[in-house]
Amino acid sequence: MNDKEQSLTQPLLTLSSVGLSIHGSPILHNISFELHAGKTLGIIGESGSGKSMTALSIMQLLPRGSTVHGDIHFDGHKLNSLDEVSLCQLRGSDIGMIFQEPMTALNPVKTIGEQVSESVRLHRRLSRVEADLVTLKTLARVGLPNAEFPLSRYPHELSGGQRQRVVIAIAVACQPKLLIADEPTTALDVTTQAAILTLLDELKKEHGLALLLISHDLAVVSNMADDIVVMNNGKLVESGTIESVFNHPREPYTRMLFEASALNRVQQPAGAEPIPPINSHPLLSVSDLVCEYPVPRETLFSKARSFRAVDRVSFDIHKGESMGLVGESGCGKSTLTRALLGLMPLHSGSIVLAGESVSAQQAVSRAARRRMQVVFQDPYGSFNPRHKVVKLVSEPLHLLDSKLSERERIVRVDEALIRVGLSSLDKGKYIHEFSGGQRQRIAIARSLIVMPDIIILDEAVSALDVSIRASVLELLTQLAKQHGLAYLFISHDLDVVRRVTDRVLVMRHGQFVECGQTRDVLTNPQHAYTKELIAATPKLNYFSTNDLR
Amino acid sequence: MLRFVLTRLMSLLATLVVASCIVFFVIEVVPGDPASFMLGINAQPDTLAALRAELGLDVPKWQRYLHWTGGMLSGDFGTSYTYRTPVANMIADRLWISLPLALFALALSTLIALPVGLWAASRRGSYADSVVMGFTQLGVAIPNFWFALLLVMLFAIKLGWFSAGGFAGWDAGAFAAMKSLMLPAIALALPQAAILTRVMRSSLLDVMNEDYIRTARAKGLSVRQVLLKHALRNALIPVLTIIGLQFSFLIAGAIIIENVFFLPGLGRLIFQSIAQRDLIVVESVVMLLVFAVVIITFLVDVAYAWVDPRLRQANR
Repeated sequence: MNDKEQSLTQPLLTLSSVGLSIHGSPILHNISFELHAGKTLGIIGESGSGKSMTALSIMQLLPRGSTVHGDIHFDGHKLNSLDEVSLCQLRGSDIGMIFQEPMTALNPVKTIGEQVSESVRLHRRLSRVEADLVTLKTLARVGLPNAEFPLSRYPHELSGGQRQRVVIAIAVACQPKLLIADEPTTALDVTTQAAILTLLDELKKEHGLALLLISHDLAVVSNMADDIVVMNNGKLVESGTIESVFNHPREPYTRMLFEASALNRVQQPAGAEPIPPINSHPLLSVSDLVCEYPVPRETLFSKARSFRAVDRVSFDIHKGESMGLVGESGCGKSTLTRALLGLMPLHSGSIVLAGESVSAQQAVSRAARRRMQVVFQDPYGSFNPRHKVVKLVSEPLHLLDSKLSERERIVRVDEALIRVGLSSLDKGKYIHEFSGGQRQRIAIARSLIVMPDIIILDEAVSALDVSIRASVLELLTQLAKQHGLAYLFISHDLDVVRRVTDRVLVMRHGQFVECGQTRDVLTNPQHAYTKELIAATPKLNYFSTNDLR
Repeated sequence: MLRFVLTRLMSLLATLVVASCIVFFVIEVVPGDPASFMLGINAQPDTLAALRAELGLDVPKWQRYLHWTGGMLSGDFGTSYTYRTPVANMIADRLWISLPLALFALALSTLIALPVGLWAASRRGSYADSVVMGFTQLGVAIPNFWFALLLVMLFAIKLGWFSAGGFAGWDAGAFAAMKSLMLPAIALALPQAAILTRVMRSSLLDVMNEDYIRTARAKGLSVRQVLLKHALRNALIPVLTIIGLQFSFLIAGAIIIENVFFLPGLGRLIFQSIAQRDLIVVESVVMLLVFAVVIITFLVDVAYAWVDPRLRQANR
């Protein structure tokens, strides 16, 4: 009994003045917090704030050359002075951890059964058969029943959400006291995210374990956590119960973070009613579009089959209009984008851009390519790292009919950079010298330089931190007003779509299940799937915009 | 898995057909008439014609191609222009030296490289790692014939443990035969082992940076357990590729080492046949080597699929 009483008062995990430096450069400064059994602590912060490093310090799985100062106490052990053998006994047994990227978190050459039971057999002295029984039970508990998901499955045969369930099964198989979840749902769709978060919450309640939930998403944390820690630049900015921090943030950084997140949720001002004139010709017109992929043949002689990724979709976008396209991964968004860009052969149907038809089967004219530009999700991967910004941004200029002189090119690049809020001095730099938000601005500058009529934004702000995301969205809205740009805004994030689009298309299994004015669709969804999507999107609790003003 | 193997076999057959066409017609267009080479420059035209008819050189090329490939399928590789003996016998004799030598060298290099690479990877950045890497650098740089001469000087001349060259023959017993292949195999294996060690080490280090290694560490596995249970199998794919390439090289490319050790192997046979315009021998040996390379590639493909479950489906 005494033991139990103690566990109620004594925190399970205590960090006191923890600092971390890697090869001499400081990463974390003076981090202190406590976590009690049965509670959830949320760590919130933008990329580079030191959230993950804090988690890895607790696990003592830091990169080479790391030194930890201060104390990390867990359940009577001082973790940062334990020897490796004792740490191996704690990891996986008393502390479980879940990672961000489910697609790569599992060993591709081992079955899911092997990977879960390995953890069980390592920490519990069980025979293979007994361990398999525990594995079956654990996998069934995380939502992978044996009937559908036998132990002999390999990771590549599972979806991202299912893989994350396997990772969770590995983490909880030995019933740990502490579960660390580092951005466990960031790589997942909203409905999958909701299911995984529910599962984590249930597991926490069933086993009375302590959950350390790391996320950049305030809404996710606000729904799950009892206490919250806000981090920035390796320092602890603010901590406290979720109610106190959310309702009365003391630090300017916390306020800024909340405002930026809240901006996404602000309704469009009623004055802006950019409903296009019905009679005008649409800028982009897609009708009955079908795109198919060949499926590998079962045998050499079986009939070739194909998978219909986009199934008879039609829509128009008018000049100056912003159209949203939402749907989960695999719904056909990317195929549709590829088809619009003329990179994907059309099976049937048509795409007409300003009177000219676009398809991969025929050469798309330069004029059409100039009219339509694209900004992709990964602001780093979409640039050649060996070119300077001036070359990257001026690349689309060859689409113009007349060849520009070197001076004119430079002038254009300067203009484009200034328009997206950068300076003309930036053109001599390389892409790695910029932050994620700046890179995305450069991508936008690159698409603006040829004065397009429409820009396709394919998850263009998904990889950005909330504060930067807010400023990029602000920029896009401004540019649309100034230049009469149309956008096709592809996103899985309903809040982003709500903020910047006039109309929205909801896509599922290659078809549009709903379309209409963004405000109507999101406030009064008609189709069951749209309702499901909206319900799954985490809401920012405890918090109203009025509190800030 | 079975389907995977079958489709691979089909493509293997197709490769062989294409390769045989290329080998035959490329060698046919090379200047140099075997009959006039055999008879010398003063040969009478009618003797020349008679010899050409006897060798079967007077019929159209496509007929000779069919005759040649048909013969090979039934084990008849034709008769050597120079020695007037069946090519099949000549090749068989040589193969019994070249194949064991290649296997021996490959086994040596793999047995050295995999553990040493693993060991170096597990001690990345340490003194031991630097020493191993230094030695592999040396192993890649040293020409193998020179290393072979050093081996001969030490083990054959100075210590007298092995003979300096020649082949005892399998009739003298497996031990004696293997003993005479020992020094050549070591000489062949050294540079291969050096390359393979480096590939093994760097492949392991790449894999150790993967996310699933972190997952395995979070399970409570020690660094060593992670290396053996999770990293090793994933790191084998590039290693298998190199092993396959090396074996192909060892079968055909041992010419210099065979010369240093006076071994009557395939490499020497092809070398001599080219010099003597013994085209039928050249064609047959080249075809045999193509066959060996294709088979090895097939085995490597099967090994990939065995190592990586994703490939079993991807190649359906």
